[in-house]
Amino acid sequence: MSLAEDRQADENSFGRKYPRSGRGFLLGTARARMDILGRNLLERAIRKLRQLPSVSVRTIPESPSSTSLLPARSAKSSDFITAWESAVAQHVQEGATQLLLLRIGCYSDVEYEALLRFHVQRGAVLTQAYGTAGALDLAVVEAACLRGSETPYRKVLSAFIPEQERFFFDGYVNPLKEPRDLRQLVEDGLAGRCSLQPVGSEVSPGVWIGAGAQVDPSVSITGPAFIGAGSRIAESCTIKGSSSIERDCEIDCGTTVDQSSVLQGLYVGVALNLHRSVVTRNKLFHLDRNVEVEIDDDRLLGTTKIAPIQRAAAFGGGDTK
Amino acid sequence: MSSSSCVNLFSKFGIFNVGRRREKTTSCLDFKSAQTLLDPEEGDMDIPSAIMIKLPEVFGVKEARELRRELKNKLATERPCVVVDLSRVKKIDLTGLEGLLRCMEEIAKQDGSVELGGISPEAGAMLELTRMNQLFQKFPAPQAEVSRPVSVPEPVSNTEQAPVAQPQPVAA
Repeated sequence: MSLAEDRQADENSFGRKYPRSGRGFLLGTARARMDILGRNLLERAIRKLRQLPSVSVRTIPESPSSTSLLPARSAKSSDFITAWESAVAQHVQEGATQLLLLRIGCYSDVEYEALLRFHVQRGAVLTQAYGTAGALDLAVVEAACLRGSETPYRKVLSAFIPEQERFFFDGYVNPLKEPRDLRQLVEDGLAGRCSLQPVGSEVSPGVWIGAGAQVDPSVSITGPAFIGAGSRIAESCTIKGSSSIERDCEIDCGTTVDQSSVLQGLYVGVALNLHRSVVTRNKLFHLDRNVEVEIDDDRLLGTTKIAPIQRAAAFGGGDTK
Repeated sequence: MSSSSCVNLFSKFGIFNVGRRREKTTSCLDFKSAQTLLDPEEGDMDIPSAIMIKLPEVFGVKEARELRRELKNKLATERPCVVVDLSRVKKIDLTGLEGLLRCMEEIAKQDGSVELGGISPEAGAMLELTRMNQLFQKFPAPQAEVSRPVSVPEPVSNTEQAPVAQPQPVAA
């Protein structure tokens, strides 16, 4: 499993307007490790893989230059290529039957079991999964074809590409390339339109609260909404419009979070109005204005000031609708 | 009676006196610079002047202080009408917003009015985040005295009253 993260350096300057709806905004936040409704895509993928019988998982962080699931035949040696070759070699030596190559970047509801079944039924050497918008960065390789090879595995694999089988998946896929995609995924997860389950307790219909979250009784929450583990929502806040507040965040008094997502470990200041926005550390992307704003003032946005609360602590009451 | 366009242009903020006064001309006419602000099709009008403040790309503590200083000198008239143009603003922080509030306070003391002109997406996002968009909505120019610098109303005869321009809500 490789992590499609930080393909580009996070070179966003303040106020930079992305012509394509904020593409680039999420790159610096390491998408694979970014919590979405309480759990990041890497953990979700590993949990999903562990449901398969006798599976062994290896994770490799990608170097900034890698751009595709299968390293190119001519790919120059790099830390990533070395790690990739080594991981494949270990799996082959351990006697794996199939290798499932997965690149964490986009989100899809593909069932790995269905993909593996398709691969076996077709008797394929290499099977790649495709969604309606293109490749899903997911492939299965027959390990027997790699055994005993003297040449690097990437070269062997690239020879199989012309004869690959294609597994078409017409279910839910989210490219997670733009802040808008993240918002869509959050909304779809909360509405049950995809398999992305919020991690927490559903305290009222559509309102999910993670372990140890503290919600002041004066807070108004209108579902669907998600408040992550260990987060604190202070007095007189309003959370509505399928908003998500990830773990260990602090939303200070009187702030409204509407149709917005606050990523993990962030502080949002007093009496603010977050509307149609995605907030990362010191940055806000406004979806309607299609603009990213860098905010250096800790009184507005910053990293959380509270110590992570013990997960076992009970969350408060709060007015949930 | 001929009218003259009165456009004073100074400082890096781009503070303009915009409007037309009969038989009054002030120095430093720069009509070219004000092409975007004034309709070149001039006519006889009797509209009080407005001060257009075009804020720079970065509007922080230093710029806010400078603006207050400059604006203080320009608010000699009774009931000044000030239009703040944020269309160039790429970065505005809390001190900049506070500076704007202070200007508003000064203008309010003189029974004047403040309106927001163009708003860049960045400034709009900040105004919305801090809820200042609501504040400016509640602080429109008095209806009878607004002279919209961006789109000057159609000329009217001397006997007719100038059309009443509706205050524009902040598009934030």
